Amino acid sequence: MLTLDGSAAEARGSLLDVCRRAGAAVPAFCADERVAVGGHCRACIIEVDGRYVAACTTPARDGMAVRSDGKRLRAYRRDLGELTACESVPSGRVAAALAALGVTGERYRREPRARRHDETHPYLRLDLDKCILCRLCVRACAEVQGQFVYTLVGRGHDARLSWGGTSFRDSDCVACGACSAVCPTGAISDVDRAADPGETRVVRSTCGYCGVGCQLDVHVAGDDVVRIEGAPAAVNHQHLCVKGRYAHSFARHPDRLTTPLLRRDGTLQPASWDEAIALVARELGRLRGRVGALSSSRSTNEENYLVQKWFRAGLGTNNVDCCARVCHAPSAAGMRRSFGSGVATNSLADIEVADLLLVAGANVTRSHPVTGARIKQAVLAGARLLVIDPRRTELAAMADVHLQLRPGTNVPLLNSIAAVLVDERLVDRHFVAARAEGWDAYADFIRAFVPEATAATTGVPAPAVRRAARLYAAAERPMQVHGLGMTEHFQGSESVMLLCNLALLVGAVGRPGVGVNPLRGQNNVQGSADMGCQPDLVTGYADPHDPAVRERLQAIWGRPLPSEPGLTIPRMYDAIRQGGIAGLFIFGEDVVQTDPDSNRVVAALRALELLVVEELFLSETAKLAHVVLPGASVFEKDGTFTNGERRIQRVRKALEPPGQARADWQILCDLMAATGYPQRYTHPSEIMDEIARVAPPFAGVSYARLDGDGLQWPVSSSDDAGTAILHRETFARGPASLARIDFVPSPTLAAAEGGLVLMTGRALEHYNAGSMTRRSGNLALRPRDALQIHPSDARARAIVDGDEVVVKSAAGEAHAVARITDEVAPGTLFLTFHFPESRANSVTSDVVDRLSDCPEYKLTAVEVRRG
Amino acid sequence: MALVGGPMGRVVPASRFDTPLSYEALPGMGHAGIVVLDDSVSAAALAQHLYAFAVAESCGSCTPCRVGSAQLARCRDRAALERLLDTMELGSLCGFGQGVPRPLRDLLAAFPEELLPC
Repeated sequence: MLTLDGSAAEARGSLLDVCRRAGAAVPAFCADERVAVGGHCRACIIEVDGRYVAACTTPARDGMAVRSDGKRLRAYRRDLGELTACESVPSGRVAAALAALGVTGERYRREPRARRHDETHPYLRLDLDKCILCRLCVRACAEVQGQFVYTLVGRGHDARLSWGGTSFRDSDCVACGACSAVCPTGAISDVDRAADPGETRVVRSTCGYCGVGCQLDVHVAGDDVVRIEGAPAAVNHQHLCVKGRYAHSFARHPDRLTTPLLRRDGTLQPASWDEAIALVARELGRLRGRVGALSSSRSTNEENYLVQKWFRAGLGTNNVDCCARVCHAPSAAGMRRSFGSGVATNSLADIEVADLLLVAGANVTRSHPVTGARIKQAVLAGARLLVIDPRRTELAAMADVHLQLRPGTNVPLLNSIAAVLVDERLVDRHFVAARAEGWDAYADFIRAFVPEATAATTGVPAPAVRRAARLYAAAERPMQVHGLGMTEHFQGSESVMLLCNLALLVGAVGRPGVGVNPLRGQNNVQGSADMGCQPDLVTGYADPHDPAVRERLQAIWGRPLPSEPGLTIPRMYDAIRQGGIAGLFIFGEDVVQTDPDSNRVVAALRALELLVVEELFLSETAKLAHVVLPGASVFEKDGTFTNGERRIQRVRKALEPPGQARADWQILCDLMAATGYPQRYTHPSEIMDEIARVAPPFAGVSYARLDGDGLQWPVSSSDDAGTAILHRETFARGPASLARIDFVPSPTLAAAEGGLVLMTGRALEHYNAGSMTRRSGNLALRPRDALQIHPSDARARAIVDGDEVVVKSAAGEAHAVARITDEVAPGTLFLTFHFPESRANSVTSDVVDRLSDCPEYKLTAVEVRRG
Repeated sequence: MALVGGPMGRVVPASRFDTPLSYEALPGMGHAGIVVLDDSVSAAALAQHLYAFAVAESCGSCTPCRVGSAQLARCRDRAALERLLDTMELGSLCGFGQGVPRPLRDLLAAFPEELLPC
């Protein structure tokens, strides 16, 4: 304990913390809980045992006698305020603090000086006349994002904030907004906050972009989102990325669908809800037995639950799938085979616990930016980093070892790491004996894959593999995160099983800071799979052919489950061509742009007798529909999303849907009623209550428990706090399986021999089909799809940076702008797929993962030429 | 007069050259080095020199020293100068900004008429 102004106070944290807890009015301009203290502004000077110290940099100690106020301190603070005001014209928090100190700005003569202004960036504006050199931006950029855009140049009175590049637009900024969020003066501000919006409401919700699940404070004025701030939550600790923080204007974009559309005389024309619902119900009835649904990983758990309930119990088919099929279905399938459960073993918070991170096939700083920033910070703080990626990604450039393999050779590479563990006796034999089965046969099998034997196939030198294996084995807490570079392959599920093998061999499962962790892509792709939007598993990963499951569900759903096995998305397209499916309900997914081999996708959709698309915008898929239903955006409805660490978090309505657009759960209820299966929900919370009854992993979930940081499933009962780490004592399947996986090359590898191979993926600024981000300021940051090509490949084809290029495969042609970079190796290309006009997925093939039907987006044999 | 211990040390006017050279007699006199100035250097000139030194050497990390150094030469009266010296001494991040006021206070005490107005 110490004494503060005569009263006892707990000596915890800094003296500034002590003062703030006690409510003492100590000014502080450059302190922010998000970054380390700097002690630059000197406003928080207080008196301790007769000496004057900065409260922010002084740790509280027992026995201190602290005075936060006094005549000399008051005079000091006023004068310090006058000095602050004489070199800058701050607005915001500092302006308010100066006013409170009685600062007039007249005591000292202002030195006129030309400081930088910059308005070149679509989101961030810099006006350094307001800057008080507090360095919060410098620290936030370094300590939160790890981007190091800002620096201070000049000494003494000439010190000023600077950044690389002539204009801010040309700097290394990734527009995460961390600087603007901490800037206390308005020197760095958000362009979208330019005008004073007046009164705002703040709604806590969950981001609708990637599977990280950042918590947002959505500021609403009138019926529009005026700004978004990162909430102090377990997932993101107030941090956000360029999509979550800034790309929200799509919600009020004039392209939003505001009425149902029906195809009449070949064109889509506005119609009433009654007409649209009646038509869909009539046609689904007529086509009964030949229908299927693609549910939406962008929408809520409750809506996904309804889609599969409707199709299974209402329409009698298991033909329900979702876009987990085209991303992490192999993770689910592979981890299920190895561990008995197909979900992330650990939590995002384990990133700070791990002492080594193995990033496999994931460009985390681009595709999951807030998690990527966390990984960067962990590495900057000393964690080791191994990266498996055909591209030299941002993380690969920071890695202790970058295993830059040839695309399509994950299996021999992962086996070779395991072979080193066995070969060099680095295996945790105790863990393997206690928790895994199949060791003897595995140890014999794996020896053939020593890196000296696989190097010719993978292109990775054996010493690098050995070094990576040794680091992985030497780490006390090695944590894996993996992405679509592992899954979207011919042997995708098997590659994930090999990742599981590595974790098993070193005993890195079932404790903090370790595990196998798929970085789920879409905001709720975890949830749409959890809810049962996959043909072979119903809500909570239950087997629809298990009599006990069937009995339980029939009791709740009032209808029997269909017993015919359902079809995955690629099989549904096949079935359409063969007449087995004539009606398709596509909920919030633009398969024409995002599914592979889009010419075949379009041909299939055109062959349908009924295509219903529920959407925000008239997507490429919606353009082919017979009925288009206008749904609600993430800001316009209540519900829940489940992020990649199994955390169920609330989505809260902030706006009304535009025009006649409606919350999707309400549309689904109407459709269910019209097809003879009426439901009685008045709010999504009632749907969640039913989910809790249907599926044991969610038994303890209810909206009342989801405020704050939500719950990580499994949540077995209403007093279970959820599960941060799986497989602590046993695996869901009993002992884990050490899988013996031989390399079966994709048919594409032979086709690509001697030519170029293409991988597709995402850029930071856009999200998948881009329907939302292209209708935001992010378009200005990245207006086109780009093809990354190595200088040697570009030279051989007389391609220069910025050229229009055509990428051609056996399936079709795509168009993009060439970006010449050695981030890709010779012979490999990387193309984003965010713009429909690029037709990136015209070139991708119909090869799929052997076990899960996930398309092989990461390997296509192509040629490229100037367009 | 003499500047004892460098530009953040102590100023001893000629009238007090009998002051013992000790930390007790000259608290904060700094490190070795005595600069003796003859009559051709006024107290005001020494003050200007010290102001310029503060401006040139301030690193800019903290507000009192960065901004205060540049304002020293502009104070119009003794009260204003003393207030600024107090702010720099109390609030500066390191020994530099805290030390700049030391010889200036000595000058103010010994040559109140010469130093201001400048």
